Amino acid sequence: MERLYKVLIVEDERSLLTVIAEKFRREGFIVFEATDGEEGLEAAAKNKPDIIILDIVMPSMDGLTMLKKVREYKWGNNIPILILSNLSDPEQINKAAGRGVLEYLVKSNWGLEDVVEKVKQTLGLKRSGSN
Amino acid sequence: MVLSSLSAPHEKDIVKGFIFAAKKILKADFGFSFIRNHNSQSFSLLYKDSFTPYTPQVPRKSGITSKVFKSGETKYITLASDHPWVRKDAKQNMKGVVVIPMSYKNRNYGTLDICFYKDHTFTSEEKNLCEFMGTSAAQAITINRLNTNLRKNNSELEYRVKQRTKQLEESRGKLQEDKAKDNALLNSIGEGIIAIDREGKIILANPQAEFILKKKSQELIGKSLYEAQILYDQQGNPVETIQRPSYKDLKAGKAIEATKTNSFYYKNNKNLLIPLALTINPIILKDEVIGAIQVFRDITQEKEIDRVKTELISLASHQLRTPLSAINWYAEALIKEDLGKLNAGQKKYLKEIFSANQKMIELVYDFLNVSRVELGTFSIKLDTTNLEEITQSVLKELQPLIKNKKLSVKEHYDKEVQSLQSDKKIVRLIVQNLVTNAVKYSDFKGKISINMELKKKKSAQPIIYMTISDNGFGIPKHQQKKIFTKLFRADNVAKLDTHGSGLGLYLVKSFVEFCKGKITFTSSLNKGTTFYVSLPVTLDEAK
Repeated sequence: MERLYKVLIVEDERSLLTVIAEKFRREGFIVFEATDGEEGLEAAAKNKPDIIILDIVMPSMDGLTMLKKVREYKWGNNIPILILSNLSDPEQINKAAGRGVLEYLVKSNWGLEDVVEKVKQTLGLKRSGSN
Repeated sequence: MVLSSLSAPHEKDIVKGFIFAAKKILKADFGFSFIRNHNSQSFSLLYKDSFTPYTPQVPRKSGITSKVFKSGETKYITLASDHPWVRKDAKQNMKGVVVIPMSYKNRNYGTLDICFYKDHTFTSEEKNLCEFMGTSAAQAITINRLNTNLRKNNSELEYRVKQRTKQLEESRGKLQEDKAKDNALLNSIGEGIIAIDREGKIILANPQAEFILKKKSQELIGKSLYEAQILYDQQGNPVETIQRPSYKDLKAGKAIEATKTNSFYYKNNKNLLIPLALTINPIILKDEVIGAIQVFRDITQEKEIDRVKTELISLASHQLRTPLSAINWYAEALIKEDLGKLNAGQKKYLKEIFSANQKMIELVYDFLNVSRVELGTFSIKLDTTNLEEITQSVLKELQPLIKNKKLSVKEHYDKEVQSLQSDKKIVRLIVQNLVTNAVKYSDFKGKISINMELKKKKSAQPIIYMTISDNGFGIPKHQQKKIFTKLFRADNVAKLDTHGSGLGLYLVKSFVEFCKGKITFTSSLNKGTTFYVSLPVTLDEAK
């Protein structure tokens, strides 16, 4: 990678957050962690990540609300956001799609490596020939 | 009958009176009377007065009584002993005699015989009197007989009426008893019951029907069922009369089939839709359909229980997926040796954990889909769909198994199936389930064939025809009816493959029908199974 990319991971389930954060660190990303929407919004405002990986069902502020708030800021307008959730209701997916979500990934269907690939693709790292 | 004896004493009294009068007027000494028996030409002695010195014999054919009766003319004899018509024993006891026919308007009833000890010469006045008495006696008897008949008829009628009344009362009692039983039965049933005639007019409604329809029985009877009970579909639109179960057939007098359905609703007084279970059965009398019985029940509670159950499954599967994802990702990181090298044994064991977890995820996914289908929260999202690509990605996933079993897969795709407008996910689920089944239930070196065709029709939507067949284990004949039911597992394969959830085909059928398609199959044991799916689609015009 020509430069260090910043990824914010918002996930309330500690074990999931740990494994995915570590994976991204090993892949050479700068990783910020948050365990609910409020924390996530704060971290996003402070760190201006290149990409956000967002869960939906979380305490205090859920993912869709945080998503809406991020889009209200100038800095947050163009940040690519991937939803990584275990909710696979079409209703939820449609809601997310309406708020400019890049992709909606269902956790249990996606391996860690697949998620990393997706992120790299989104940031244009794949084409630049990182392998 | 009881009344036959009534005529005799009356007629006897009549002739007694006439004989008494004749004796007084003619100054005769005794008298008697013969009467013709009913329905015959024979005679019998009706009356003799106490002065008669002998017993008059039954008239001979050649005797005076018979002759008088036959001719209808009164016979006057001055001196009986000289007369050939008079019998010997009579001759000894009398001299003068007059035999008067009791005759009136061609009705001859018998004779009045008035006798004298001494010879008697009849004056013309006496003769007139005698003839008058004959006629009068006949009139009296006529009237008496008419009267008697009338009374007899009357009381016979009365008797019959009494008998009939008794019978009626008995059968009414029986009817009332039957009715009481029927009523008790109808009243105690929790279902609403309405009987209708062929025109759909209500002829009976039980209390539960009154309760559900919020109308009294008196208001319902005679009304058309189709007006008294308006049914709605799930969206709350009234169901057209012609669409109601059995309506058409009943109208045509055809033998309607018993219909059972859960797809109708009615509106309660708060205008809320209440789901109904509804059954229709024909009433058949002497091979003719004369009406129908509609039985219905509010199934709000059942539906609610069903919904709660489904929601619970849905929630549970979401919750289950979080720890499953954790196992999935941690195992993956270890297998990929992100945290350092593993020896072969460690790697093998981890792979087992990983693949068992994958199966668990699939299972939870199936459960979730089932509950979603049953909750009705699945919606169709049209998207550019490449059926060939989808099928090949499914085959790719199954590659390890296909390789293991050394299966050969033959594929054919019409060119048009590469760009369709359809719901990608649903199509994938259908293909995935059917192809996975074909692979799973094939034997070593089995053959699988996949055929994806598109047929365009002039006016209607184009249709995809998927044919997916294997030459594997097949489905036992006695279980073929059940293959689309939830949790179904064929006997012959349940032992071979313990991982199956029994939800796959149930889901496929739900999905296919959700997309307004159809699914059928043929199967024979140890020869294989072929599934045929037809799905209406739109062609992607952009391409």
